Amino acid sequence: MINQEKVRIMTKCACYEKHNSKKELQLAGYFKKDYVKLQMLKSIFSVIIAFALMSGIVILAYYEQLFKLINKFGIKNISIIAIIAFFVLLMVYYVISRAIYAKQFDRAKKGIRRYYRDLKKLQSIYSNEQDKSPKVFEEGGVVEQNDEFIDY
Amino acid sequence: MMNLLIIRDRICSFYQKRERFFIFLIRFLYMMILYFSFKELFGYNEDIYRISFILGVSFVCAFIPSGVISLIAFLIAFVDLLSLSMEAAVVWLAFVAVVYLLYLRLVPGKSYIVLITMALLMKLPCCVPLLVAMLVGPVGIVPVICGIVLYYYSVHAHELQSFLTASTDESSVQPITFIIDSLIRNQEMLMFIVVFSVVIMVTYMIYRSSIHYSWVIAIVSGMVLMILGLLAGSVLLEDELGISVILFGSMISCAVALVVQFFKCVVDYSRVEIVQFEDDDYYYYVKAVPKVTVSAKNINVKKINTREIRQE
Repeated sequence: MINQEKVRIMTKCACYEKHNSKKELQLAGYFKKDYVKLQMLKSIFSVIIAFALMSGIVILAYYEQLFKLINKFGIKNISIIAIIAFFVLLMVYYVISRAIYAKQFDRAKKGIRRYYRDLKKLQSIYSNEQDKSPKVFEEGGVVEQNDEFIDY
Repeated sequence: MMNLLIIRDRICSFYQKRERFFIFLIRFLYMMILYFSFKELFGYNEDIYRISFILGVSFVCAFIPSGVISLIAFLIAFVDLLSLSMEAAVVWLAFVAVVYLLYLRLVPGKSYIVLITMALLMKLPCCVPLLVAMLVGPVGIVPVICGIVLYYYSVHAHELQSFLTASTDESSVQPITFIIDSLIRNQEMLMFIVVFSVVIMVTYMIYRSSIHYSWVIAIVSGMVLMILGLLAGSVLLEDELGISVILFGSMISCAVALVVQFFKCVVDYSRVEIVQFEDDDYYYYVKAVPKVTVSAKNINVKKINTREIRQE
């Protein structure tokens, strides 16, 4: 007979594996601090590339005005402004992404915990089923649990 | 109302029975709509807008995840822009890359909002903020802004085309400068960004509150706020955006949002339960609003015996 509880848990686990397993199970190997640090490192690279792209577009679009500004204020001052702009962008992005990744980790951890709990339940159901299943002896006899008649 | 609920129930069960097919169909239609909107937004390269090509790409997209569909859509726009000017295409690619690096990498799975905003801004701009507030929340503000910027990018690309054809001396016009300058000076774009962001925030806040009929109030107040914001903006900017467009657009958006809400959830405020209880850590004030669900009568006529009884 089909064990409904077992099917329910197996479906739940399969759904989890299908939708979240790749990302979240990967995440299970990290401590929160390490995970957030790793993501922050990636974020810093993203900000550097994005800033380079934006600066490239601005330089290409307004190089004439930029040369005028450099002549007026000097390349040192213009570079300082650019660096300040970069660090402001980096800091804002850092704060936001840190909060998002920390939340993401907590949410994923919850999901993983639930998944492992379901797996444990499934394991206990299997072990119960194994205990109840008929034991086959080498001679060919079968022993049924809770069975009054034993057939050798 | 009861009939409507029965129809909703039937539609939902019809969808649930054929869910896999409908997911393919939705992806196919999504790509088709994107493709046709891109044809109107850009449309510089006739070859990639042949109907056989559109159908083929949409069919392929029916079987791939939505993230990849978005990537394909951005690449189609890039290839299209290459026919206009190399610089315009490169700037487009840089824009998309910046959006990906700073937002989509952080909050994956929201790229479809950028594309839908672009597609809807052309015909039904007012639909965007209400639906985003209802279905996504404040997280959707950034992709909506990106969608608005990319939409106006396509508008200025058209202006660039006419500018390039009108201009005799090519060196006098720098395509990158033209597009970036037009975008920075575009007051209408700024107005849409401000109004949509405010409408999303306000609608979301009312939508999430626990007052009676909060969903309907949120949608209607969002619509009113949008009408007022866009009217004020168009008066201030002396914009071409007509009153009729704003009014009818907002009303249609409100109707669409109400239909979406009807399919999402309907509750019965006449049977509200307000209860209070406590546990070791908290004291709870709970307001429970029952959902309205009905199912059509399922009458089965079972013929037990069809044989005719002979009377002798």
